[in-house]
This record gives sequence, C-alpha cells and structure tokens, in this order.
Amino acid sequence: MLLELNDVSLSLKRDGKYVKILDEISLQVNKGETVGIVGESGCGKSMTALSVMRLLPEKAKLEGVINLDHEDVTSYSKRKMEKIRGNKMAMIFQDPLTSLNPLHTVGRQIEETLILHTDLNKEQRKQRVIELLNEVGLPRAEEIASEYPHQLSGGMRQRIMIAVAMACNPSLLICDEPTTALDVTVQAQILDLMNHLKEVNEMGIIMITHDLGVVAEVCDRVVVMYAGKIVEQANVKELFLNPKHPYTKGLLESIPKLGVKKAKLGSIPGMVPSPDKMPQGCRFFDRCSSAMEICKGKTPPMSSVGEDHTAACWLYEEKGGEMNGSSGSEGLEATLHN
Amino acid sequence: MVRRILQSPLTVLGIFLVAMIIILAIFAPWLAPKDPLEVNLGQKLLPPSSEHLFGTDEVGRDILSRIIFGTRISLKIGLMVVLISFPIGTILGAIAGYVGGMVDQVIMRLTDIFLSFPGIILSMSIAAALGPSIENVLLALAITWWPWYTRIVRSSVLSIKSSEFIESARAIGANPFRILFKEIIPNAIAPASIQASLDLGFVILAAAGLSFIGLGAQPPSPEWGAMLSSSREILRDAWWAATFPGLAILVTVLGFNLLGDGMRDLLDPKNR
Repeated sequence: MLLELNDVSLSLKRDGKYVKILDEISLQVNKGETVGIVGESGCGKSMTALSVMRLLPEKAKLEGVINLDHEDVTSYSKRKMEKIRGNKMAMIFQDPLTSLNPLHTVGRQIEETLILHTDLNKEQRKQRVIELLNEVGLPRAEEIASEYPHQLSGGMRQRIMIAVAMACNPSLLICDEPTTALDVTVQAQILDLMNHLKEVNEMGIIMITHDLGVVAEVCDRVVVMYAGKIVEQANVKELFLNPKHPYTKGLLESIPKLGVKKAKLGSIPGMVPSPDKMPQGCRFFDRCSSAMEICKGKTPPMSSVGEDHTAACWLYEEKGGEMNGSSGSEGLEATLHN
Repeated sequence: MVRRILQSPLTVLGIFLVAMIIILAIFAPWLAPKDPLEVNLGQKLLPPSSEHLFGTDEVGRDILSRIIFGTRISLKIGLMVVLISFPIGTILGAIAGYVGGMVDQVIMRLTDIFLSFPGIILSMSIAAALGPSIENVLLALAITWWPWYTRIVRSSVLSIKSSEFIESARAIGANPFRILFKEIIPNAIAPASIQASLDLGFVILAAAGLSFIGLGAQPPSPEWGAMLSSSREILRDAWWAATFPGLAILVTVLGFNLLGDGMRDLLDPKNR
C-alpha cells in the first residue's frame, strides 16, 4: 500500500465559520496503480489532492489519517512536508502555461526540484535535466532546456510539468486534470506518457478528472465523489459496465456515444449542494431518480456491492431495504431493469 | 526589441540624454575645459563667449566646467538614493504582500506614515537635523523614498502570489523564503523598476532643491542646486549663471523621465 486515506475530513474557514469540504474520505493507492477521482466541479476532487500534498489554505482543518508508505503525514511539520513534496510525492496541475514561471527557462525550473531535494552538483543536475526531457519525450532536449515557457506549445509545456514532477522519481504522482487544457491528440500522447512512466517507475498515480474518457484510458480503479463524499469505488471495468450508485449511472449516461442515436443526452437535474447547506441524509437525494424515504434522513454507509466494489446507497443496503419495505425494493428493481 | 525602441522618438531622445549625462560624468576631467573650482576674480561674471561657453560666475569659475562636474554629483545622488531605497522598499513590500496579516498591517501603516507627509518637507527636516552635506541629503532622500516602492511591489505581489506557478513551486517543496525571492520578487519587480528609472530624475530634482535652500551641497561644490542658489542675487546682471545650471537640471530630469516612460511602454505586456 503506497497511500492510504482514512476518514479524512477537511474544513475550510468561510465567512468566519468552518465549512466541511471533505467528509470522511477513505481511499487507497497501490504501487503501480492509477486511481481516478471523478465527479462534478466542486465535489472536492482537487481538495482531496491538495490535502494529500497539504497545499491547503492557511485556515484549514484537516482530520483523519493520511498514510504515505505507512507513515502518517498529517502529523508532519511544515518543513518535513516540504522535504517530501516534489521528492516522494509530486503534483501536476491543470494549466501548464500558468503553472510555469514565465521568467525562468524550463531547464531551470526542472533543475529547481533537483536543487531542493538532491545533492547533485551543477554538472550532474544539467545532465539529469536533459535525461528527464528525453524521458518525457521532448526532442532536442538541450535546446528546449534553455527556452522559456511561452516559446513552447501546450503539450510540450505539460511534458515539462511532468518532467518537473518526475525529477526525483516520486512514488506518488497526483495529477489534477492534467489534460483538460490540451487538445485531444495531445491529450492521448500525454496519457500514454504517464502510463509509460508509471510502469517504468512503479509509481502510484491519482488522476483527478471529470473526463470519463481519461478514466477509461489510464485508470485501474475509480473513486466517484459527490459533494465532498465518496459515493462509489470500483475497478474501472466494473464501474463502466456495472455502475451501482445512481450518481455514477447519471455520469455515465451523460457521455455521448458514437453510433447510438438518442433524442436527448442524459443529464442529472439540479446542482451540487453548497458545502454550508449540506442536506441531511444522502447528499444526492434531491437529484436522485430512485430516491426513497430513508435517503432523506439517514446517510447511507459504504457497503460492498460486488468484488472490490463499494457504493454508498440505500438501494444496496439490506437493512435499509428492510426498514423501508416496498419502496426500497421497487427502487432496486427499477435500477436493475435499467 | 531594438526596433521597438527606435519606433518611439521620445524614448530615443531619453536614451540619448541619459547617455550624454553618463558620459559627461565619467569623463568629466577630460571633457571640462577648466578646473571647476579654480577661482579667478579677474574674470568674474563674464558672459558666454568662445573662451567660456557658458560664461563665468561671481568668482570667475567656468560655468560649463562646473556643470560638467555637477553631473557626477547629481548622478551619484540619484543612483545612490534609488539603489538604497529600491531594495529596501522592494523587500518590505514583498514581505507585506506575501506574508499578509499583522506583518502586512505594520509595514503598510509605516509606509502610510511616511507618505502622509509631503516628501520634500520630510527630507528637509531630516537633512536639517543631520546637518547640511551631500551625504545627509542622500540619506534624507533615501529615507523618504522607499515607501513608494513598497506600495508598488506589494500590490504586484498580491496578484502574483495566487498564480498557479507559485502553487506548483510549493508542490515541489520550495520553502516560503525561496518562493518569495526566486519566484515572486523577480515577477513583481518590473513596475517598481520602471518607477525607479523615473525616480532617478525626481531624486536629482529633489536633491537640487535641498541644495538650493542650503541643506545639501555646500559651496564651492559644483552642485547644480547650489549653483542656482548662489547665482540668485546676481540674476539681473548675469542671466547665464542661473540659466545654465537650471537647464542642466531640466535636461537631466527630462532625460530620465523619457527613458522611464519608454521603459514602461516597452515592458507593459499590453503593448506587446
């Protein structure tokens, strides 16, 4: 087990009071595994990543356990976190243009990671930069190292960002929508590159995205988040073929499929509730097509719905079904017939 | 870059004037026809002629030579004041903007105190308290000048510190100190350095002003403000004694202003 989050909750201070952004997130990432985190905007995907990196705003309250290589990093001091950031874990951001300092050459920015975390001398660092540029598939590495971010294309810049992140061979790589700002052909190249690097370096990757195509392409396991909570967790195939949670189903239905003529693309009505007005019970209740009485009052627990497949929904909770009698089983049947 | 400079004739003029002043300052001993301090009472108050291009003053010193040597004093004051106040202002402004909170409050209220007095009055009182000399004028101006840079740098730091490349610098484990000096300040410094190039002219003007009222350079120093001051009484009889030092100040301030304006246009990303 490379990374383990156990009941991680995060509260941020808004207008003088703490608002819970993440609610008891638990997930695991193994070595050489890519875990996708999907969900709508504002569901807490990025905040989960920033919690792991501890790149949180000043007044944030983080609870729970985050184990990296069996060590709880939530107890680490600021300085200790600086030592493992960029070294043991690294992060790639969405927009490769704004993530690079416009005043430094890209070689210099890759070197920065090496300056911070290694004892290599100048000559060795230079060599390593060239090596990294080659590794991320940039031709004429020596020339590119002395160029500035604005001289490179979007895809090249994202490769630079990957090189920056890979400089110290991190065991965990967190990618926050790494391909959103890129065009489709470049997207595929970048994803291929990441897959390749993962295999070579045995990294664990957390892939945050709202693009289910990206998930299908690179992820081994998927975590679906909704309104600061995990609602479903499964391996990729299982999730795409056999989604359980009504929210996951809604997400999958909202992808257009080639060759299938449909009058209307599926969409989920309504919006994600804002964190300071979280409803009691199931947070998806308002927008759920198979909502039941029990969903309104009680939060559904995570329960197993198949091999390595968990979901938080009363539809699959035996107790809930019993307690709620007919409406529960009706809902279940309705979904099964879908 | 060069072509864009050449497109603006005023910038070219500014560069020309500043270059001229710098050359005069460096090569003053060779360019000046006479010794600027040499008193020759037999030749006092001579009007401009081929012998004395700008005429002579009340004790017969060659005004052209004095003006040429005066560039050294003025440039020295301008550069020193900016070189002292610019780093102080920049660092304080960057810290205020980056750290925020109480630190920000303390630094910014301090700059408010300085900025709430008219600068020239504050430097006058400091110079008067320290005693009249060039060094004290320099110190007085530096003390009153840094808050401007603090304000400018702070505001650009505020916008830069939330950019994504700062976040990614944190993500590779850079500590706040390193981020401040390697990532934020280099990006925040452009507007303040334009201000600094404009200020070179204003500092020279202010220093001449202080010398004029007797708080700065003392006779026989060939400082332009002091020269103006001593020629005040003979203005009716010898127009040249006041006119040429005044023109020297005008040309210098104008040169630095044009240069600063040109730099602003050149560095402004909107004009790119």
